[in-house]
Amino acid sequence: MSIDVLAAGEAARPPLLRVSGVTKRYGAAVALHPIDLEVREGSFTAILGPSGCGKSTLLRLIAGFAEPSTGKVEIAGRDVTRLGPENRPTNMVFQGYGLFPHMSVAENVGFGLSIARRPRREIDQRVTEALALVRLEEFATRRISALSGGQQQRVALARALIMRPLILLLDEPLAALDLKLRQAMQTELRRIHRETGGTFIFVTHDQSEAFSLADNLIVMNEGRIEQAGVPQDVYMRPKTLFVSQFVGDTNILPGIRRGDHVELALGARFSSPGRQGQTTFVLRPEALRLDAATPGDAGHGGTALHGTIDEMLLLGGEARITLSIGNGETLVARLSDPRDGEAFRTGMKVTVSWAEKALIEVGVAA
Amino acid sequence: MTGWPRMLRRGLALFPAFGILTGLFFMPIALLLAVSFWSVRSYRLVPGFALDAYARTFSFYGPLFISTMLIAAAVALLCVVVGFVFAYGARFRSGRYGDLFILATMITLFGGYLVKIYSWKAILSANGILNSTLLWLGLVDTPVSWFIFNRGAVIVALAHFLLPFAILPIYSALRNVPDITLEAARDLGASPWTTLVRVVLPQCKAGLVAAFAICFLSAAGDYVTPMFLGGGSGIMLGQFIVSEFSTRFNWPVGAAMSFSLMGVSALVISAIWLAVVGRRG
Repeated sequence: MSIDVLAAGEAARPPLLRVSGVTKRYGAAVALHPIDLEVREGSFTAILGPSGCGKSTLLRLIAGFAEPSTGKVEIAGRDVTRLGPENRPTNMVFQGYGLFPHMSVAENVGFGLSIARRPRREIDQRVTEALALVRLEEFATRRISALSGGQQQRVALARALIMRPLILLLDEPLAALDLKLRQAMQTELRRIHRETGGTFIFVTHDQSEAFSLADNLIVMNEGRIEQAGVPQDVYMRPKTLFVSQFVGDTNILPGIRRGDHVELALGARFSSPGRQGQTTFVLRPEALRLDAATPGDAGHGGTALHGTIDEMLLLGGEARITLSIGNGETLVARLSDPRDGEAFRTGMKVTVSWAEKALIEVGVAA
Repeated sequence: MTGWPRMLRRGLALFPAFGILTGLFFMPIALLLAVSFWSVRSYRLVPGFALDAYARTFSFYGPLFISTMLIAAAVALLCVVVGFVFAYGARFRSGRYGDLFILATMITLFGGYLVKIYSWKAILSANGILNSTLLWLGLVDTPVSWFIFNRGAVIVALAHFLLPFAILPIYSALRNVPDITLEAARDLGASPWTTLVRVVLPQCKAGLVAAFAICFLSAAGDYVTPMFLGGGSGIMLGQFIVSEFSTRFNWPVGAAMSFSLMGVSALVISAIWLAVVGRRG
């Protein structure tokens, strides 16, 4: 670990959330293997993973709805492991919102403050502020059933934010909304995060959602954290095969290392020292370069192979091209400018090349 | 042009159900309503329009009327409270066994009505199970006589019999309360009690009132339970409606009592519905 000089003043301060050695078992079934996790103040963290990976369990452990089998949860330096959600400085936006159907929008939003027996005037004022933050000022007296899904989502957000939680937890916040509304809500969430300066943690199975919102990404699979870091970094340098597949599209290239060279199953051979024997590399589709086949040379300083175009998909903003390389291997290439794709036809012979640094080794595939 | 035959067809389709309802339910009730304004002279019904029967209902039977309403209200209240506790436990504290508990409740209905009354008699009477146990334990020297033949015994037995009818609507109302609203309340700092009062109860109040109405109406109209457990003098209006129709052969008064009971019960239920659920439902 490098020492960050700028952060020296903060070095003494613990991270806002620290999860250490947390596991969760339900009888014999293990929902979470030991999890270690730190979230700093002000971050917008996404916990990304397929359904059943334990991400919701982890969120509920942070919220206090479940107790870990082992391990510790600390918020702002305080051990909250044994505290229930009512005693934690966190608030949650539930999947499906969990709004109170028998109350108006304002009553829903003011519920937490009214439980805390705040004075009427303070409640009214803070409800107005919270509704303004989510742009629902006009809806204060409406009944919940008279709201659309997107509006209900905002009420749920306001109801949690009014409590000024140290950490706002969101469980699949946008899953129930249609595409257009989801995109609008993403913008809204980023704005609200900026305006409140709070710390948000959300759970999602949608990688595009994670990338568009988060500045800190945690990828989970089968009860384990596969990789954590800045989203772009996770995308560019996946540590495991799972991460490379789950976060974006990828080409999986098995190979064998002998001496200082690796030979990929699709025929390429390049210099790469490391552990001997079976290994796997991944290659992002956009890292591939296609040229109309020019026999003889491969002059990009990388690897070049010959292939045939099997299939071309023009997806509006991009072109996806499936190539067969011979001996049954295929590669997928993505051209971000579809005009580049117009030069190619199905059945054409092409040269495919990539820069060597685009190859990421993820170890032996399971 | 085409509206006519369609209406006719619709009318024909409705006729069997409507006919049965009219013939077997509304007609007898309408007849009885008419009779309640008649009078009796030397054991013969005389048609006419007199309010004597109603006058007698509310003057002579007035105190009994109030006592009947109070017994019915006590039974209904007991059923709603115990029923809510049971249904709440089945809904929120029993995991996947909740439905099983409700099924078990329904099975107790197979036992029948009279069986339950006789069971209570066997439990509460002077030489019954309760007294034998107390004597055996040495807690009393002589059998306790006030366990039976009074309002308390009637209320307990009626509540016991009607409890499943209260549990069912309350349970179904609680099934419609999303778990997530309870979690949300807890997340916002609510204690279990606050959650119950401010989140669970308001969401199931229609079910509570329905349970109250079912139990109240059944209890108010009952005459068998007080006959067996209420003592010799009679404590509920139903017992006297029976005697007016049979031994006294005063149909107008019996009918007037029936309609008064129905009307007042309907008023009580409506008032409670308006007070608890409100106009918006």
